[in-house]
Amino acid sequence: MNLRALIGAASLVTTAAASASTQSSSGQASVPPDQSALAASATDMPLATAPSVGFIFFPTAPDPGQQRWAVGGVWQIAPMFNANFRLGLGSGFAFDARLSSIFVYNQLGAGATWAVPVGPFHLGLMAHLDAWFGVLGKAFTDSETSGFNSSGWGILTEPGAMAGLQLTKDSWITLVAELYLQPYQAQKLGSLVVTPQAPFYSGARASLVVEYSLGKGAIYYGVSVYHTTQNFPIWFNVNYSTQKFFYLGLLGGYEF
Amino acid sequence: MNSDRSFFALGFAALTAISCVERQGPKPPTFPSGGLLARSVPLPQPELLSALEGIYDATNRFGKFAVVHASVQGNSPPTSPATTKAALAILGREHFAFAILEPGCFTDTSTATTVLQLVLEGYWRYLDDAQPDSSSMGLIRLFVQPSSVAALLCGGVAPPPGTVATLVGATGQGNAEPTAPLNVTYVQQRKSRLVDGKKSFFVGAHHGGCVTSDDCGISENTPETFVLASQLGADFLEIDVHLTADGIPVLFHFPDLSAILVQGPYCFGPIAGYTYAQLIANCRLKNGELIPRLEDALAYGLTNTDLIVWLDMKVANAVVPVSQLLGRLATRLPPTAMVMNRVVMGLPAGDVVDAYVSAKQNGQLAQGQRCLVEQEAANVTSIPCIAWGPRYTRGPMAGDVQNLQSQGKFVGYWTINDPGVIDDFLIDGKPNGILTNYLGLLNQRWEAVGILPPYPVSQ
Repeated sequence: MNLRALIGAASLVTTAAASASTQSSSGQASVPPDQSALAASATDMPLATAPSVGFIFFPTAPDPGQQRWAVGGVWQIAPMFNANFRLGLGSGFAFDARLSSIFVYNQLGAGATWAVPVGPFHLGLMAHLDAWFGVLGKAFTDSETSGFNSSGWGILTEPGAMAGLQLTKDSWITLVAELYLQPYQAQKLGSLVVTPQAPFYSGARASLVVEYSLGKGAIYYGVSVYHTTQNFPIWFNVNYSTQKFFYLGLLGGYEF
Repeated sequence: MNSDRSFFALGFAALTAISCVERQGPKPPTFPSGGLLARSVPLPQPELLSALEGIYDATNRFGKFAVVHASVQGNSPPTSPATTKAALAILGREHFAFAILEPGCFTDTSTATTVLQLVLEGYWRYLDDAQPDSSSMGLIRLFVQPSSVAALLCGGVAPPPGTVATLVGATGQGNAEPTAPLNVTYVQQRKSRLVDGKKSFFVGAHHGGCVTSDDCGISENTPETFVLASQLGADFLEIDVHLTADGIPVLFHFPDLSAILVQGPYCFGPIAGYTYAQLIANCRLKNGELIPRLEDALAYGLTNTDLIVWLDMKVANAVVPVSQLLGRLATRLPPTAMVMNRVVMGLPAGDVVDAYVSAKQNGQLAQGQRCLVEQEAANVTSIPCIAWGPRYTRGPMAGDVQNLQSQGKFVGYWTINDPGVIDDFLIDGKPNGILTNYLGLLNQRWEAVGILPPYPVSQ
């Protein structure tokens, strides 16, 4: 089984499960459940182009004025809700906005991507600027027992690059690499506000994401390898250290 | 396709390596054949090394404002034979740099005139690099100058007050012989930590002198960390206490046998699910040590160092057995161990506070048992306890701090590792102590910006 067939099979298994419950009207959603046949035939299918509304991860911009929304989640240290928006600007450019929240950490950002096809691949560059805010302890629980009376806020910049490849007629895979740079961060500990004296590098993430088209919509799922400081993005982590750690994350969601 | 398979195999191997790799930290470097110390004799009066304490300019390795700290570890009389050893530490701010050196006296016949030399040999480390290599760790060798000071110390005679010494030598990279010149020149005296004649500022070691993830060659929560913490200028040590299935108090941080701290294919799950025999049969700490019994760690630490011990009681059902263990140790160890004075039971959560209060009311605590409250300041006076140890994430809380200090209580924040935040809390809170992973850093910041609290610690 080659790479496209393997991931195509995984995509179709997921899709079959999803379509059974959502009663999607798309053609792809009504595929028969013979997965091995589907996986084998997936390699023989002619490759279609990406939808005109593009994807959230795959580096191809929506057509000018076209837009794509997505909701989903990331599980790294704790589950985090994600929402994404992408608007085509033309010439391979797109405007991005994204929201992440785990209640004690909330991040809203905007940025741009640029993508270009190179042979069978699609390559892209991106840059995002996010503002984040979090609160823990006295704001919503008894600080005497939580041990926290803290809030934090800051700015995060995330330059990155993408490389994508269409795997089957309906599935696209993208490798995304992002850096986490924090030009400004502050924590309020009780009455004391502390800020690092200089911008700092919090780490990086590499993600492998599959997007499977359901016609109008699409599902995405993937895995990320993080290499970050211990307190990223959990700004209130008490064991501050400059040491960086590897850990895994999972992500998934639905694109409208 | 073969290339696709290769791609998958590589990806899988990379993920496996990332998730399964065991981190066995490098040991600190040592001099080949024992260095000059191998042909030296120890100081006849190890405690006299304190004559070299002070603030020094150690530019090129430890910075312009480095703390030189002397300490003594080991058994002293009436234990016989005496095994006391002195150590000198150089503590800097940049890179959280430190060096630990041992002294030795030898007759240098390599020059025209025979000279009695006091040599200091050991290793240096940049603790901000948690995975040290030859650029962040190496050997160091210094000689005490002038030779008249060396001669006095090697003769067991205290130098006259005001004597100034210089430490001259070199540092190296990794295991290489030291060749980069280093001159450590005296700047000024260290700051007093006394208020009304009573020591009122204390440096605290979190889990020991160095946490496991910082790779100092020994694991946190072990007897060995007592010595390391003492060498790095700690006054007190916080260690974590759990209970095994057969009721043995042991030192360990997490409720589960986390792979961050232990190794062993059959070493996982809740620590309370193992008897102590099963624990030592199946588990080793990251640097190969056994998970120690509290009894063994205290017996070693209280007789080999002068550290105060803060027991972080991780589970409420350990309160009574630990207190009774302390009572037994107080009768078993020499009086110089001062068990009930030096071991304080930390109460981190409401259930542990309740267990402590209940045990106190039922007369189950050892006589003279002392406690430290981590949460509500009011409990310090109501229980009563001798100390308050709030988490720094609640802020300096200067009003509450001063109120307790005015009653003679100790107040120490946990756990601060960022130099800027350490400065803020030293200045805004004027605490009696701070718990940290970086003992050298905290000592250096205290000397640079620390302010003594307005009241002495009375207990």
